[in-house]
Amino acid sequence: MRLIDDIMIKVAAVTAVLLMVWAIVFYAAITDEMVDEIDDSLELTAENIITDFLAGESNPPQETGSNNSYSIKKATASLSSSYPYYKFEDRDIWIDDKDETEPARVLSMVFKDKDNQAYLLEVATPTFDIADLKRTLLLMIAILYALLFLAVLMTAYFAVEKSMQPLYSMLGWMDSFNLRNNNGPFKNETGITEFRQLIEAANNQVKRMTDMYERQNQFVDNAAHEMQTPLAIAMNRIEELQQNPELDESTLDSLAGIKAPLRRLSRLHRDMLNLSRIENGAYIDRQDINIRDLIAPMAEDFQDIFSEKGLEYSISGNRETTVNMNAALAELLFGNLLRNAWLHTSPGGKIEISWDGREFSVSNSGEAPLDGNIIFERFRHNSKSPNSSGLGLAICRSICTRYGFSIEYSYKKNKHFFTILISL
Amino acid sequence: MTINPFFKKHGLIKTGIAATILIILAAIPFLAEYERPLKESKLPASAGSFIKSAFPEERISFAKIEIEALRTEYEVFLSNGTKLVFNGKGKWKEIDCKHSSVPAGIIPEQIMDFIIKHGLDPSVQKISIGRKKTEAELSDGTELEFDRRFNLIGFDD
Repeated sequence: MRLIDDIMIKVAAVTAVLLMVWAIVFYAAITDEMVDEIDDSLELTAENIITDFLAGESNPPQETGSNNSYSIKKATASLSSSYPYYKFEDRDIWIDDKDETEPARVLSMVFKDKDNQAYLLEVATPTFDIADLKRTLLLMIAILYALLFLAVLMTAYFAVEKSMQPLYSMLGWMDSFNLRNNNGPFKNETGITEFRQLIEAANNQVKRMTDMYERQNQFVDNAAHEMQTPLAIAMNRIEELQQNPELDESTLDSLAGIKAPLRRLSRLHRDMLNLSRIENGAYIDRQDINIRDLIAPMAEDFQDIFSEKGLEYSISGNRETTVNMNAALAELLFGNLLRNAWLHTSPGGKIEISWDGREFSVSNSGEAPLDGNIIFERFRHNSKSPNSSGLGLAICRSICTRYGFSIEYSYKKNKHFFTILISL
Repeated sequence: MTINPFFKKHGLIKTGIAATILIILAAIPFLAEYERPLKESKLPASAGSFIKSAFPEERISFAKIEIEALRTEYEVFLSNGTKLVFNGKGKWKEIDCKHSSVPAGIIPEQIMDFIIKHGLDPSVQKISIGRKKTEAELSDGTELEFDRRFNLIGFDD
């Protein structure tokens, strides 16, 4: 739900309730006042009639000019007992002129004369015009209610929309923000304190992030250089030593024993660099890469390297299938998977590489399933194999995450399956 | 959900609604006004004794109490058609003897003096004492208005 919708719902709810209360009170007050006016008129007429009647004067004609009609009669016994009686009520009365009944407001009162005789006086006035007035009033209030409600909502909407402008433009800026092609700090001249603070905080944060990113990139590059060089020198020196014909067998063995971990260190180091670069979002450019063209030469190379294992391998899949990604990363991803397969398959085993639509899988024969939960973690490797850095599958997963692919491991029919679901 | 000023503002809205409703409820007794008939015995004692002394011949024909926001009044009709109005404490405010005349004994002395001095019709039909002025209506239709010190401030024949 958008912020403005949330605000509007709350404003609407509160306004509706408050306006409703106002409308009810207003309507009640006005109609009450109208009835009051009628009652006052009835009361005045009744007073005049009573005072005239008691003084023995002749009473005004039954139909007075004020629209009020009246009657005086001796009260029945039951009414006499209710003396003193004074009551306003709404009831239908008979109108002679019209020959029909009409709703009316009636004042009835019981009073006594000098001789203690009780009389009932009834003064009535028709109220059809009141009913008309009430209906009009109700309509007016309804129209006013709707107009006020709309006006409040529109005012609130425009006010919020206008006030929130800096927020929306900042969200847009954040969406388009990218560490690698930094488009500068967010600029917005707003006078609203909260937004100024927010923008300042965001800009500070971005500046810190950019600085850190640059420093880290520089450090990784430098470290790569600085570490790779001594490693290469060490390896070269060992190779030189190995060429020396004066060395005896046990020294050569020792040298080989030094060279193997050195090579592993070099590889580990390269993988770590790759991993950190992938996770930092290097390797941006993409292109369509034909899977078969990429895989086939790799497979041949691995087959050569591991020729003493006597493995069988097969490649099956559409010749035209391509995947859109960075060339170096593609090589790293598929290379790592294939390398793993050749490395870990026992002599005489079988490797199958196949893809179909979005699914790419590499399978190799193996005796026992691996733990699918941890093999993609860093350094969760089989420490017995000296040539693996323990980062191969972690790199694969990083690359897949980067492109929104999923990579899964499964074990079926004595085979390890590594499956990548390529998202288009 | 630790620091969010908007939550406090919701509280403000609810308080506002509650306050509005309370004000309306509190205002109802002030808006309500009503009148009801009253038995003779329920009239303030001073009003009852005033009637007995000023109009010894008459019975009470009808009495009612009118209650408004800040004011209580008693209206009494006597059997000769006289209408009397008393304030909440039972002191008379208005006497209207439409078809007779106000007993001389209860007309303020200064007014009676004024009437005699100026040779006006001595039978007073209606007299009312307000907070700022006292009005007297004579049988011949003359209307006199006095201030609180009984200086004439209005005259209409």
